[in-house]
Amino acid sequence: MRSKFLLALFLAMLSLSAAANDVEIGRAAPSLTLRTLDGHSISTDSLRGKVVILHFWATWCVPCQVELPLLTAYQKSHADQGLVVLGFSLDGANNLPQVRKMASTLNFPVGLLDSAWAGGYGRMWRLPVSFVIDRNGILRHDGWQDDQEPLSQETLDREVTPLLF
Amino acid sequence: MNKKFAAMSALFAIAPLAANACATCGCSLSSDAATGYSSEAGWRIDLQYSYIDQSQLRTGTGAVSEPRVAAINDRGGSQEIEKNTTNHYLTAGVAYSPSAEWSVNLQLPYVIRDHSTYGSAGSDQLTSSNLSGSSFARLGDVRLIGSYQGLIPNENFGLQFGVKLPTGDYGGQNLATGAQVGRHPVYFASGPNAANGQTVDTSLQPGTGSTDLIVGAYYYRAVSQDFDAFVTARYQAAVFEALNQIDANYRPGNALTVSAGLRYENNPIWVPQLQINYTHKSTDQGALADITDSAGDVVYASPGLTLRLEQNLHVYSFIQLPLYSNLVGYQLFPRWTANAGISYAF
Repeated sequence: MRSKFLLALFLAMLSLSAAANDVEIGRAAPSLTLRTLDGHSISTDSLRGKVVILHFWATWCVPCQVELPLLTAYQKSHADQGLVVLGFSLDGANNLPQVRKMASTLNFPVGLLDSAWAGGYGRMWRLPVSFVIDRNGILRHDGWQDDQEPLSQETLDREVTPLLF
Repeated sequence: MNKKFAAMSALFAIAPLAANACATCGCSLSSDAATGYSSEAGWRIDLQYSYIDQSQLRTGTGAVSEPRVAAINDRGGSQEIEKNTTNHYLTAGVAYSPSAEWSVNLQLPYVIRDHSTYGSAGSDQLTSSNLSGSSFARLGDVRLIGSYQGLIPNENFGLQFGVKLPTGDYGGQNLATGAQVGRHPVYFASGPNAANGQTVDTSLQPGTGSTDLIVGAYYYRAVSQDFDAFVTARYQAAVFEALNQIDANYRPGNALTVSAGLRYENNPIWVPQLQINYTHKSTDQGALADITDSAGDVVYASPGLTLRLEQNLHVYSFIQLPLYSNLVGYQLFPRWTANAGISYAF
């Protein structure tokens, strides 16, 4: 009786995991707002007509140190084509000085995510992770489907660059 | 994964142990994992209530009836037959974390305990007139635990070091002289033991009279978008005993608790959880110890739920269901236990 109860409880927990996020390639990307370190708010809804990369990172995340410079360079070379990168840091407020230091080396807006649960993108359970939204607000790249290798120039060229033309 | 939000607090460094309530039946729930771990700096206060009703007499891996134990005394033995021990623990905690890596946590337990025993009764003496009872509500042994989780960048692996101090009343009676030893020990209030002016068993006093060292470690990580997994281990051993005289010495047995579990993190508002808790308790030592009835191994399954009421205010509730127990001697054991707590960070 007791083991059946515990088994039922565990299965119930597993069944609940079906709706982990609302992310699906080819469908409207969930809306998300970045509150930047300098106090501005940038909603993905306000960026319709742009190609948007949502990038989730943290100062203590080692692979992020590889991806952030790559994204900075990519943003710099494609900004005039309508590319926008939004950087969501999962650092706590106690790491704000380190976040500001890192943000000073980046050329795209950065803010702290006020919860690990990023709306329809679900819980940010591993870092780094990125999502790409096209000019029509459609999700074109789902970071949850990536392996855990850092984002590469090859990936950007293959999946993002075509959206800019 | 997320240091800030993956969970709340290593500040809840140690679950309030009730190991001195009796041998192996104490609370083994990891309240760290119940509320979650965190690397956020600042203060935290929490209050936890634990209910443990030891109502079943067991030996080895099974239950045993009172008459069967009384038969030992019929044959000339001297085996105590405990009837019931009901424990309520109200533990207040104050934690401070000056940085993401370090934290210190002070826990003050208030123990409310009702206990009854037939003593070494024979089969024809298992009657209410032979039942001795005691009841008290007093401060227990406080714990001071420090945690360090700066060994790896993710800060999801931590080490814990601490002490349990003999702040609770403790003691008994010298076996040779009958003189009271310790500090304000609890006496029986009813039945034959009260008539004889007997103190309650040393292991059932509010405190143990010992200073214990505590070491532990924990590790947690996200294993999928919806689940965190964790494992914790803690070892506690007495290093100094105030009850150290001949015929009046007592040292509580060492205790090891290992917990592992899953937290369902689909929604930040409510987090269901399932823990498996294993406890190994060594034999108490000394003239005042119940050497033959104080060791064992126990495994609990502990389902529970944590709710976020406000950004920094959480409540949680768990039940513990024993899956396995292997007890040395004859010990009172709970059929289930309950835990509930509230915590606030600022």
